[in-house]
Order: sequence, then structure tokens, then C-alpha cells
Amino acid sequence: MFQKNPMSNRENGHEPETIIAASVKVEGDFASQGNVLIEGVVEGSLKTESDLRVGERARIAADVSAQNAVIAGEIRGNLTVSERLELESTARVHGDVKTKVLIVASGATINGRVSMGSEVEAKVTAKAEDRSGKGLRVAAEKLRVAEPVEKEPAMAGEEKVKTVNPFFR
Amino acid sequence: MYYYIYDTFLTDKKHERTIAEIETRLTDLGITGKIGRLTAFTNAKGLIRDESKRGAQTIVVVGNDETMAKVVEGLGDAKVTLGIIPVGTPTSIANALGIPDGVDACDILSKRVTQKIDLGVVNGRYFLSHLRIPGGNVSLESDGKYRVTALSPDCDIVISNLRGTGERQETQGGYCAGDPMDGWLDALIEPRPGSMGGFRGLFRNRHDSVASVIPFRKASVTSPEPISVIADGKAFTNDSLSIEIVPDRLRVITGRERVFAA
Repeated sequence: MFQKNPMSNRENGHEPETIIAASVKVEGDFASQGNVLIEGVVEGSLKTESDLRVGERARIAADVSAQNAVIAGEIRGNLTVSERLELESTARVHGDVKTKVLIVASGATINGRVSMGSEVEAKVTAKAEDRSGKGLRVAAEKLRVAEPVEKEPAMAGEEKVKTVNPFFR
Repeated sequence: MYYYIYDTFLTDKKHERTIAEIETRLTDLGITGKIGRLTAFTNAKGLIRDESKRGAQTIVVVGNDETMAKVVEGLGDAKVTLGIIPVGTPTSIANALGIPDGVDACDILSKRVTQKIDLGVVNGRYFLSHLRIPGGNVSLESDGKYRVTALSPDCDIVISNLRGTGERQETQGGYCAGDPMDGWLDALIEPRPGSMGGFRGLFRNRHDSVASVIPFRKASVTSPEPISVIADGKAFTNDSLSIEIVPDRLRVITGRERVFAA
């Protein structure tokens, strides 16, 4: 997912990449155009137009949006990934998940709705800094699920907990 | 037209021979020019202002990192090309620009390979290389959008525009912090040197030694106590810091061994 390139940032057209180490906390509306690696604490909202990696020790209390993501830590918030989402065995997601392709390792936890399919169109519009200067807002304009991968009968009173795992059908 | 700014310490006898060799080499290369000296009564800002009005297009700093910091700080609105002949220590800024120490720098100067680089501004004063802010109770707020705080008091915040030689901080995706031509400043939150040792170091996880890299264009640094800052080797203190990037602000003469690509 993360490609090595020895050329300078400007030559590559590289967007800046962000690393939040374990000893750092970010509060507010964090947005990036480049890849993001989180090992620390994030509260508020987290958005990247590229790839996101959440390390095992990371604690995120925010709605998260990315193009591709690999999650090994904890997220308390909704997770929207426009392409591919991979949950490693230590991943714990407490919120709704929306993605096109989902890979879940044994041991990963999702407590929330999972929406996915062959055609998941998520238009995420990043508005420019608003007039009040209070920062970026991410608005999901349109989300359409064409063909759900699995259909489970909904039982009355039962919270929908759905994991997509080919080994348990 | 070249204008050479000599720092005060160059009057010391131990630099006499080096200066003589440099001046001879400059004569041989045909790039001599007027000389101005930094003293208790003259500062870089005044010298640059006066000489650029008289037509000086290239300002050459003769000295160390601190000399470079004084000259960059005094640039003001002057549109000049900056060169450096490193003499004395430390000379990390010159080395990062690919300029060797002493007489060899004259040949680089005569080749006039130039790059346009970004400059950082902190509270209205330019800096070229980096700011170092001791950690503790300090937070960085980027454009009013989000705030970054170091959870450990043993961290320093380094705002990097031009990284030093041997300090390549590259992410897995290939983005390199401290590139002075990318239009970004990089906030590096890193463990203070020496803080990982001793009794506490025994209980530290290896993850604690990884530096955070946070690119930004504009940010403020706040703290309940006055903030001590070292900007390009010069120390000052302020209650808060307002930091931003000025892209492509300065044309500098560089050598082949510079730490950034064209």
C-alpha cells in the first residue's frame, strides 16, 4: 500500500504524509491529502484522500474516512472507506462501516452496521475552509449500495452485527 | 554583483589563513566583491537593504550557521540570491545545501547552480532550516482545524524546513520531511535526545522512539508558560508562536551534495 520512492516530494508530486506516533494526541478536524499512519490518539474527525493505517496501539474517537485503510487498533466512530478496508486481528471498530471491499482477520471486532458491495459509491465532498474559519467539514453526499454481499434475516430486537468472513457462512 | 557579509568572529587569528585562501580563490575565479562586516553597530538587515539598493544581486554569507540565521532573518523584502562560504562551526545549513567548508565553497559559488527554496516565518522573522521547541506543556494548532499535543514531557517539537545531512526522515510512502522545495513545513515531535536512557528507558516500548511527522502550512504554538525557541541556532523566547511557510521565497546557490533534489 505504501510505495517507496527515493525522489524528492515535488518531483513525485507526493502529497505530504502524516505520522502520529504513540506519544501524540490530535484533537479536532484532521484532514490530509496524503497517506496517514496513526499510532497515537485522535479525537474529532479524521479524513484522508489516500491510505490510512491505524496501528495496534492507536485509539481513535472520531469518524474516519479514507480511500484504503488497514486497521489494527481501536476506532469509536463511523468508518467510511471508498475502496478497500482490512481489519487485522487486533482491530476493534465501534461504529458503522462502509466500504467496497472488506477483509476481516480472525479476532477483529465490529460493533455496528456493515454496508458494502460490488458497487459502493461514496462521494465525499471536502468543502474548503468555511467562512467562519472553523475548519474543514466532510459531507457524505451520496452513498449507494447496489448488491449486498450477504443477506441475513433480521430478527426483531436483535442488533445487526455482521462480519463478512468466508469461513463462517 | 557579489556582496560578501563577514561575521564578527572571523577577525579571530585562527581564521586568518582560511580567509586569506578564500579571498585568493575568489580573485582567481573573478567573483570578488564588496565586503561588509557584522559588528555591534551594523546588522545584516541594514547591510542587505543598502547593498541591494546599490545593485548587489548575490549576497554571500561568510561564517557559520548563526551567521546564516542573522542574514536570512534580515532579508526583508530583498530579492537577492544567497550564497555561503562556511567558516567556523557549526555549518550544518551549508552542508545541507551541499556547500563544502572553506576554500572549496568558492568553486561551488562560481558555478552558480541555484534553487528556489521555501522559507519559514516565525512571528514575522524568517528562518531557513528549523525551529526547535522544547516539549513539556506545548501544543501546536494547525490553521484552527486541529491541535496536536505531545503526551510525554520528554519530547521536543522541531519545525523543519530544511533537514540536516544524515537526518533523512522518510515515511513508508516515500514522503521526506524537511524538503525545502515542497511548500510544506514539517512538525516533528520526537523524543528528546537522552530521554530514552536510564531507568525510565527500560520500560519504554520501541514505538515511543518513533517521531511524529505532521506537515502543515500555517500553525500556532501555545503554552501556559513562555516558550523558548531555537531558530537556526539562535535562541529567543515568546509567549506564543505563529509559524507559516513562504513557498519559493529565496534563491540559493547549492552544491551537488545537497540533501534535497532539484
